[in-house]
Amino acid sequence: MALRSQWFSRDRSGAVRLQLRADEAAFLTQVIGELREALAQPADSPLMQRLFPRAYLDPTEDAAEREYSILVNADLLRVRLDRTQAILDVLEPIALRPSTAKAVSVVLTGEQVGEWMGAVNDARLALGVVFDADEDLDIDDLDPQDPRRYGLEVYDLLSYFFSELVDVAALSMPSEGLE
Amino acid sequence: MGETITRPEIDEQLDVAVDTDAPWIVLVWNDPVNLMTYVTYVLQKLFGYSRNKAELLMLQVHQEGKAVVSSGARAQAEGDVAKLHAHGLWATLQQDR
Repeated sequence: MALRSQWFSRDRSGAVRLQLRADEAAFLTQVIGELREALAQPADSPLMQRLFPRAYLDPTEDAAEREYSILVNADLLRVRLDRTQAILDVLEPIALRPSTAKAVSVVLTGEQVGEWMGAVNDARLALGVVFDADEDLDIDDLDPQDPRRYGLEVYDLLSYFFSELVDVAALSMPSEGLE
Repeated sequence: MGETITRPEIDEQLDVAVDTDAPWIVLVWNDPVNLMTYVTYVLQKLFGYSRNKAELLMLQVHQEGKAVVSSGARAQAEGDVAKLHAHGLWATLQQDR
């Protein structure tokens, strides 16, 4: 997928608008689909431990940790699955369009912006665990045959996409607030 | 003599009472994936902080490895941690003692 800017923008009414081509939607469909599959991993896998981290580090609070895990993690898993499905419902029809078709423009509600942000960042977190992403790592320093290379390229592309979404969403955030 | 024995008992009870009442703090920890702009956005969204305050906390996380982002009763702190986990941030709670 060729890199371009302006997937996300804000229209005059303040709504967030997403523009996607078929190949971009197909790429995101695959990434989010793989995230859904990854969410079925055992709870003690490194990926699940990153997506559902401990609330208490103190081992004397293990009883509280178990209670937290029971109360929160099942709901959080459902939230994660629901938001991946919500964005797949948007992506899949776009991905099926002819590759030569123009980009499709979709206006996102505030709730949808949250779903996109959550799901895309979850995918980044998952890729980060699987491919050991590091902010100081430059992909160009890796051997062309390095098995991490493809995964980290996907991670980088997703990060550009996510960064643009965060920048557009942050425009609606007031600069004033609690100090 | 009786007085000598009594005083440490009172002190010990006071110590326990202070520990039990100590507030719970919520920490956000640095991680290599979450973007600085995203951490700022989440702290503003969840806690209503000004952009300046949220950016200062984000920079503390990035530079010092962690920052206290909220505090209060245990149940409230657990709720804050759950919201931060739902946003993909690495957060924990502990008593501030």
